[in-house]
Amino acid sequence: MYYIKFHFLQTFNRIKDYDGTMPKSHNLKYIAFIIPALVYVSALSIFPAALSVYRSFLSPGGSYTFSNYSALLHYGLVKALIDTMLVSIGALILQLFLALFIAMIMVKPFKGNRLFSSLVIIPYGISTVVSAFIFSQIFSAVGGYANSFIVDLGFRPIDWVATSSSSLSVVVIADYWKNTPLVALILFSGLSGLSPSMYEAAKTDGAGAFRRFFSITLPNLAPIMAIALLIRGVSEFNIFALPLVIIGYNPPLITTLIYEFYQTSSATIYYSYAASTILLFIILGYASIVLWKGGAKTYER
Amino acid sequence: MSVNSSWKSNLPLYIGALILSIIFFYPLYVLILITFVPAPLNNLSPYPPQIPPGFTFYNIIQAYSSLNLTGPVTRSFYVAMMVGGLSLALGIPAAYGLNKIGVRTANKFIIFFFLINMMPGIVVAIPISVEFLKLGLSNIYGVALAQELVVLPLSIFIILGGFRALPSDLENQARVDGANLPTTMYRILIPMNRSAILVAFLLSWMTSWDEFTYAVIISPVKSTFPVQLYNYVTRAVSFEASAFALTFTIPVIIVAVVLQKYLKSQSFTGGLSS
Amino acid sequence: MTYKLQLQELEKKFGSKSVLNRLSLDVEEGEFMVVLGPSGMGKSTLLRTVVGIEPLDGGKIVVDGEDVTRLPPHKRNIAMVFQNYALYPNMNVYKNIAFPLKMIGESRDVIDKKVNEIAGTLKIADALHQNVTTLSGGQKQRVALARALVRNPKLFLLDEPLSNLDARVRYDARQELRKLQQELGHTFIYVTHDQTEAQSLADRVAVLHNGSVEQIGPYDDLYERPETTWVGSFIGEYPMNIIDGSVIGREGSQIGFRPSWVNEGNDGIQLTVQLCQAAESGFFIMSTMDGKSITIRVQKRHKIGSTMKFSLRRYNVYTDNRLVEEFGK
Ligand SMILES: Nc1ncnc2c1ncn2[C@@H]1O[C@H](COP(=O)(O)OP(=O)(O)O)[C@@H](O)[C@H]1O
Ligand SMILES: [Mg+2]
Repeated sequence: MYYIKFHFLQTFNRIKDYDGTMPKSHNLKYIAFIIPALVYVSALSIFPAALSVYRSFLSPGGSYTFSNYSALLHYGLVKALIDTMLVSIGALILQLFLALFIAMIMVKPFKGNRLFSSLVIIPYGISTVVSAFIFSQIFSAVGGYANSFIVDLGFRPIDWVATSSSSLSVVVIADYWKNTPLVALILFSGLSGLSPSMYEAAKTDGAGAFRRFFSITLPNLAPIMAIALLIRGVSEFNIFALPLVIIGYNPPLITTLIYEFYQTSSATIYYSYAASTILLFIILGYASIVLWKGGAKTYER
Repeated sequence: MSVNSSWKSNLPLYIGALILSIIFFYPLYVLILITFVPAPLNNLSPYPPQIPPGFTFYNIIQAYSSLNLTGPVTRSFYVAMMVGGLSLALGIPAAYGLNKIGVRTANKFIIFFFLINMMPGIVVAIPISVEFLKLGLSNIYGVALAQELVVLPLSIFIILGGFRALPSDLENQARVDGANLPTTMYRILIPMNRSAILVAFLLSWMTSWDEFTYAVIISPVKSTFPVQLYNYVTRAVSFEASAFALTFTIPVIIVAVVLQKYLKSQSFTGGLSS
Repeated sequence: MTYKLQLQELEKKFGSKSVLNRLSLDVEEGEFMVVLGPSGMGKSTLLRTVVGIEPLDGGKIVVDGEDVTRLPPHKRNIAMVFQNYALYPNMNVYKNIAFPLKMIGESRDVIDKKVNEIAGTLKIADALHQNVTTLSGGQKQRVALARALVRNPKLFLLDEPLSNLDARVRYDARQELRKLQQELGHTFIYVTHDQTEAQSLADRVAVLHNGSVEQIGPYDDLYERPETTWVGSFIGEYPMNIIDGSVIGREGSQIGFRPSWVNEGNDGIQLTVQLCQAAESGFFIMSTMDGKSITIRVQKRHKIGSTMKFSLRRYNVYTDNRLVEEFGK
């Protein structure tokens, strides 16, 4: 999903120069074909989001108020936001690290490459809830497969959900599985774009493998990694099913906080509208920066 | 990079590949363990064995006979089909139009679609759910309508890529040969663009099959398979649930591996890859 | 006289770039009209506007006395063969040819009869059930032609249909095309940048320049008396030589002459031989005069670097690039 968005950004400049043989300029009547899709996303996306913002300023009785927002502060909004941020950053670092290794192996022609590629791509097809379930079994509060290892090695078992930070760590770790394959594919496409002659030149100059990695691979991959990370960041921030299944509402992330308020009562729904509004503005601000900066960057190249 | 066939010089590579393979296969292995290891063995020891001490189909049989699986799975299937169908119904005309209006204008629309797509699902889902409740859409139809939001931009983008790759004269020829636009669409453009359309359908289908946020918020009861699974997990009927999870994960894994070819070949570049 | 097709002051712009500029052209019934022009001059654009897949910015298109300017392509009943043939890759040869008939709702029997008939005429009966992607270039061209011919439209537009074929096949295809047109009596509008095709196919040739028809007439007319210096230098295997009139005492004008319109002699215009090419009809001497290259045909070989003199047996006089007089015809 995000992989394709990334490709969209990447091909921005090529699209810009694309010159078909067909007239494309004054066929604005064809916009009629796009209208159903536009109406669809407007009615089911923009309208509800606007409704959310509007209702965040209403009390259950229907009068205008800021009390939903002040209640949120009382219920730990700030901590939820910070925790969400921590999980996002942690997950991105872990995924990037693993994905870089995978991509570097995937570009190498070796026997078993196809098998390897298939194996690491499998999690992409696994339902988030299934993946969450598996990790909840691995990191059970009592027992669990991770603790089996630890006990077998002669250590004391760990209660994974005892503290807020260990709970968040479990979420970060569980998240690598489903999402790393896509990051790996993005980096793979970036790596396959690097010309082998650069490496040959560096080799003849006597640069070792480490030198080559730090002076060629990383700098050349940096723009792609930046775009990939920025785009993935949006979905990390919205992470929902995984924490819900593995750690429940404790500690709450911003999405689970919203869901909890939504579930609690018809009055607390208004809190979730307020939290939604905050999340919405964070994400939209972030996304605009990404598209704007990312688009501009690829334009320049 | 030359093909290095000797095992020795590739040793670090193979070690790396092996470690990563283990990291990525292990969770699946755990799923298989939970599914096929006899439940009592797992239940009795708090620390479940890493190597299967026994093997059984009991969990699977139990899952299929005691849990009511047909409902959620059928519903998931319907929803996925509806989402795939909606993707085509909305995506094909939109992609056709975007291909016609000039690349610069089209890009603005696509950016708009993707920007809207970045709106957090939960933010949109709650007001939708409240409104749908009034409209009597708090069911799988509502779920399908909402899930379409997730996949529509991508579907449009993929199908647009297909249209861009087609020679525009094919459509012109059809018009000249006396076909009106719907006929041209049905007889020429859609058949010619079928692989992009198929990929869009499959990705929509897969995304819907997996989708949880909209499903759980809009239709918490009588919902799709992920929501049902979530309910089982929270009610701690894990062994049956895992059997359930495994069997319905396999087809989707196959689709993913099949789609790998497309993902790796960068074919999602709006028809503009070199 | 009524015309099969009348184009009146067609205007077409792409952005600020004007491609068709008040272009007018009349085509008679049963005529083989070749529109000749260099690449990028708007030949394809012209056909696209006539057939209706490219909207016009101004002007009128009249077919059989009926104004079709506002009709969509499928209602104009004009057939067109595109430059790359645009065969439907998802259909076999038979289905490709049958497609236009299906669109007008012909019955299966009629379709079958007509497809087989046209396939026989164009010698593609054997290939009817082949996949179009497996065809040779020549076969593809025939299939495209068959598809255009099969529904018996009012007009045929052909966009460089032979340019994708190799030389030998192209020669044969050209002969056949001409024969076919004469036998069937259809009206053809054929655009090309290839003069040989214009010469061997056309009843009349319309030369396209700067978005309008610069001169129209049988090929020989264009060759002998180009009305503008541009047509003179565009038509012919060698461009017409255009030199300053002062050379022969016609100040303020230009004179144009074909390489063969000269006599070699002891006096007259002098030039230095820069290249001497042997041909069936003699030797072509190339040189430059006042910075313009000129080519003349003589009967004797000359050494490169030597000087020679020639006089004009025949020439055209141009003022402001327009033909004003012909001499020695
Ligand atoms: N869709 C279009 N958009 C912009 N310019 C175009 C388009 N189609 C053709 N042109 C321009 O119009 C001119 C004429 O093109 P064309 O009709 O294809 O010429 P020809 O067939 O004589 O080679 C060319 O300069 C071409 O670049
Ligand atoms: Mg052309």
